[in-house]
Amino acid sequence: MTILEMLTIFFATVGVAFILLASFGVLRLPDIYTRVHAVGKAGTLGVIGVLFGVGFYFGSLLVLAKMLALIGFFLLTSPVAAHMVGRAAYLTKVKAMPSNAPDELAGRYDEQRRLL
Amino acid sequence: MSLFETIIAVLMAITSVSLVMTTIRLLIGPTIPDRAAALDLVMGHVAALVALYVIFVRQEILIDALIVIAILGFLGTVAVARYIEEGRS
Repeated sequence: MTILEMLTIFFATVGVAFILLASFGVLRLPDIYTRVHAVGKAGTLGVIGVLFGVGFYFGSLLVLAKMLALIGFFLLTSPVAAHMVGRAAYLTKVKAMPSNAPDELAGRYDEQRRLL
Repeated sequence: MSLFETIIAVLMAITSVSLVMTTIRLLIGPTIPDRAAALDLVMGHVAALVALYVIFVRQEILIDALIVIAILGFLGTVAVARYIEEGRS
């Protein structure tokens, strides 16, 4: 096994572990606001890990550059998507779990313009 | 199969099991934002599976498909989130 294959296996294993963690969190966490945390952070890290694995495997600079561009895209867009889902849930008044008692955002949203 | 290909195949199997767990949340999710979040993670799983398949078959032409999947996943999630926001009573 060459050094590039070992690097690939390392990064891909880390990424798949994070993806498994994110999917476990989405399945087991109690409400939408905590599930969005699992999607936005662990899911992004998992995909980025696997993409790093692909970038190192071929040993070519073009593939690594493409993967770095894709990693930048995921880092920019995935948290934005998770935030938009959480915001849509709050605006449609989805209930949080009961132990999340003080809702400090309550009453501070302008319902018409949807701004703080 | 060499040891390397076996390890990649096992990683693909683990990702498939994880995809099944996310699909359960996509099906049972009590609210629509739950399903939207699960859909975002499903697209992440698809991207990871394609990436592992690229390693498995050693075809670097296939990594262009990854770019399409990434853009489609983001646009789909944003569209669903906007739809939920605009469609409230």
